[in-house]
Amino acid sequence: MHQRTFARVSPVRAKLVFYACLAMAVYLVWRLYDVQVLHGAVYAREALAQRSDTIEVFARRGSILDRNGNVLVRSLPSESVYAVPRDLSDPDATAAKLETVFGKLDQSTVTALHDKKSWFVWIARKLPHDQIDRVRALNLNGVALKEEESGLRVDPAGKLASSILGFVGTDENGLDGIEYSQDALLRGRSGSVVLETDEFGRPIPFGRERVVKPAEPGSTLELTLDSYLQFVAERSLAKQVAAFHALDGTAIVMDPWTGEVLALANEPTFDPNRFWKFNDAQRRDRAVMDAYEPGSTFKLVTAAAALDSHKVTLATRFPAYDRLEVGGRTIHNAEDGFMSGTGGSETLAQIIEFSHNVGAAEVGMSIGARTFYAMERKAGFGDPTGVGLPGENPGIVPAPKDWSAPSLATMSFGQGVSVTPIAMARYYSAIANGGLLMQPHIIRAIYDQQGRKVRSIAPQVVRRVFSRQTAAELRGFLRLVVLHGTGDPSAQIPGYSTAGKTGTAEMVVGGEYRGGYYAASFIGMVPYEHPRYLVYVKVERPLGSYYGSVVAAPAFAEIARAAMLHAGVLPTATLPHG
Amino acid sequence: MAALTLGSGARRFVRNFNWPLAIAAVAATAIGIVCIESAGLHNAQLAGEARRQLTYVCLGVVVMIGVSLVDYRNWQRWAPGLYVVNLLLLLFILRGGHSALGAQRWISLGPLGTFQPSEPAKLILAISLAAVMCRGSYDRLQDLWKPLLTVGIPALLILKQPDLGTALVLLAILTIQLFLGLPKLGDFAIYALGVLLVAAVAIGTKAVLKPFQKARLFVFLNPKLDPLGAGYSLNQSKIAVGSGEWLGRGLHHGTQTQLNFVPENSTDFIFTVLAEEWGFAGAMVLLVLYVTLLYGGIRSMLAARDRFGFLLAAGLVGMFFFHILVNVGMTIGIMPITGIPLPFVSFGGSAVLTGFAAVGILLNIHSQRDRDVLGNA
Repeated sequence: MHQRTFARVSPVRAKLVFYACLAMAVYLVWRLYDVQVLHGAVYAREALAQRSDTIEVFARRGSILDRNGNVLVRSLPSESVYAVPRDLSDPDATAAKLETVFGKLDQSTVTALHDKKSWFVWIARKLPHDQIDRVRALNLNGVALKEEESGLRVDPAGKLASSILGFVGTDENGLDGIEYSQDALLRGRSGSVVLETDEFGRPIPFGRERVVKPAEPGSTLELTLDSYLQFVAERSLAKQVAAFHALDGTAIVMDPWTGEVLALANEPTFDPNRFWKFNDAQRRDRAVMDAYEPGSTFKLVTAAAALDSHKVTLATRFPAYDRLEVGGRTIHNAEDGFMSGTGGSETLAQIIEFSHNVGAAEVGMSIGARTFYAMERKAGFGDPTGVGLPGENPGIVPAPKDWSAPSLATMSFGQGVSVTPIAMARYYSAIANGGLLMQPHIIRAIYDQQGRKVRSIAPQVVRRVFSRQTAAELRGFLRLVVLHGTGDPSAQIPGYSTAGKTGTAEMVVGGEYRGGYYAASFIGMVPYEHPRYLVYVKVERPLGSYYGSVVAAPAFAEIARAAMLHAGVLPTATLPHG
Repeated sequence: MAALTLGSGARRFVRNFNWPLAIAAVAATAIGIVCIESAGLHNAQLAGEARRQLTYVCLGVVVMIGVSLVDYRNWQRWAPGLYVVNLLLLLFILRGGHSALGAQRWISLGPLGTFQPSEPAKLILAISLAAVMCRGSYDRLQDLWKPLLTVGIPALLILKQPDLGTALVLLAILTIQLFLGLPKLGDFAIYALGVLLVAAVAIGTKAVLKPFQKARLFVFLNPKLDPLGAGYSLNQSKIAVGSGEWLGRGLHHGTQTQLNFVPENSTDFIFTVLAEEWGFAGAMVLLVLYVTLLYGGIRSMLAARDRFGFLLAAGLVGMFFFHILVNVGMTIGIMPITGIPLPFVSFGGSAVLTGFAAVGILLNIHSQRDRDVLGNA
């Protein structure tokens, strides 16, 4: 009908235009099908990924309790205070008001407050709620609060048990003590939440929130510590350290039947709430970190080896001298143990009672290196006890092949070996409990945050060190020490029967014995008949006197008496001397 | 000769009305307004655009009807004047235009908003080229200089803005008109080779294209070339389109759209809003409308009673075709990213009015399909 001569092109070309349009449509449909349908899920995931931000949700850190459920450490929700300097009309007035809460502000903070261009300056981080309430009450313009994700770690008892508990960093990461060694348990596991965000990574209000991994709150630890005994031990130790102007000291109270550490005191000490203000020496847990030469308290190892090997009996007598040459070395008795009336010979009991170095050396040499060394190792010396506190020192107990000529003799009275206080306390516990080496421990039970007990730590026997008979005999020696020997009368407690051993050892400072530096110690138990408490006290470099009987035994007596009273055991009317 | 064909009777106008064309255009604007509203929901800069777009669309429908009543042959007469006015506007915009996004493309109209001369420039060029192609026989290859010059001058001015996309639209109009207007297919082939050669030179040298234009041109082949710049737009756009999947994430639930990951998503990248929130299904609906629109345009082209109407219709079909292909294509990484709007969907008064004016012309061409060749009604 219509003639399209005007076009002057073949109709095929016009039709091609239409086909081109169809081809384009098909092409676009195909490509869109590919992108939206075939690969849609991939892009949808990408879309989700880029509008999501994974946020770590901190788990609440577990508390630390003593054996009676008293809170030693806990985490509180905390807030931080910041200022927006550009919103401050009068920075000086604001600073003055803030100083009513925080005390003097840093000069740098005050300067920052005056910076009119600044959007942000921290005033104080991680504050407890009482300070936060005071800041809020100030109602300052341009000063605001920010909730912190990790809590504020608070040791309500301050210095109490601080060297055991340790402390945490700003992110509640354990840095020392139980906080460090049990960090994984206390910390729990932080979870993560995925939030929908916009192009700038800001969370969208009412956006989808997906908990990828719920936070697992940290466990609560119940320690074996008894706050009261801890307090008593710290107080008595501090008193002795101060009285003798000593460098430092350690006191341990242990349940000899279970190996539970009831108290562990170090002097000097620190406040974990302000741990950064103390130096390493003040924060040191000497009970596990420091090995020392034990001196006379180690004679009980020699005695145990002698009796348990049956090479020596209670009746065996040794020549009594005040000095002895061994392998080119002269061994002396200490001044407080000089011969008085024993005559030509003495028994093992008398050697211990009066702490005769020469006698102990004779005993050691008579039983031989193998027997002595075997007992040392059986008693656990030279190995860490595994009490559960960080940085434990295993001590040094040389093997016989490394000994020199006088080694056996000197080791027999505690020279030439080094041990930690906790290892000594464990050994004396074996004497107290009838010969079992118990696993010392500081954690009694683990609870989840709902208060359900997850685990309780049962007493654990490491091994039998010596026979019950030997233990009873050794205990008898210790009783004699207190009744008539070096522990008389400073280790006696009116109304309670005690037993124990004094120790006085020259200190090794910088690899050499240092003149005038002594470690005075006393390890004892109460009551003697069925020891309930094992009390260890050591005072290092006391001035004025250096005998364990003078420097350490009074603290033992005080702690042991308080422990008995605390346990509800009243003193008997008869005095021990009767 | 009557300027208007009103006298020829409303019945004939209605009988010859190209319904698919008009309906497709208006329906596409409806989709556009829904998408513009969604894009502006959480973007303060885009807020209120949907309402303004509605105004433009209403105005556009009026323009469409008005233009459809104008005998298209008048455009042939007015072509020289329109061409000159167009050049003046383009020149003016280079001197004192309102710049945005690094380009000078707008003329401020005070309270009426801004006006983008490069939009009507496409329409005017289609008219001018058709007019030029109606003079002379074009039997010889050297006759090509006239249409080339006709396109070249505005194209260079537009490139200078710089607006590569619009310049390419002009090239698309020229190409389809030459394809349908040159008697010898061989001449067209030579033209096509020439275009490819120029393109190679443009890409190979710095003379024609600015670096960012080149980056945008080629980033679609490898978005990693410029992951934070042009590649970013492309990446976000692809994620938006892809995450729509079959049925989309629902109105106002497209996160790429609502969280403003895709830039320019009420204008150049509006297709991503549709594809994300309405999915493959929504995209298909729009594509069906576009095929209908192109079909309507080709219907007008084939119904044209003279060479001018035929070539003009062809140019307008080519214009829509190119817009659709490049705009949708760029959102899924098969076409270079050039700032040309999606017809009847993208926000923008100039584009909407130009689109409806083009449809008006096509409607008028179709309405005269039973006119006899001598021009008597």
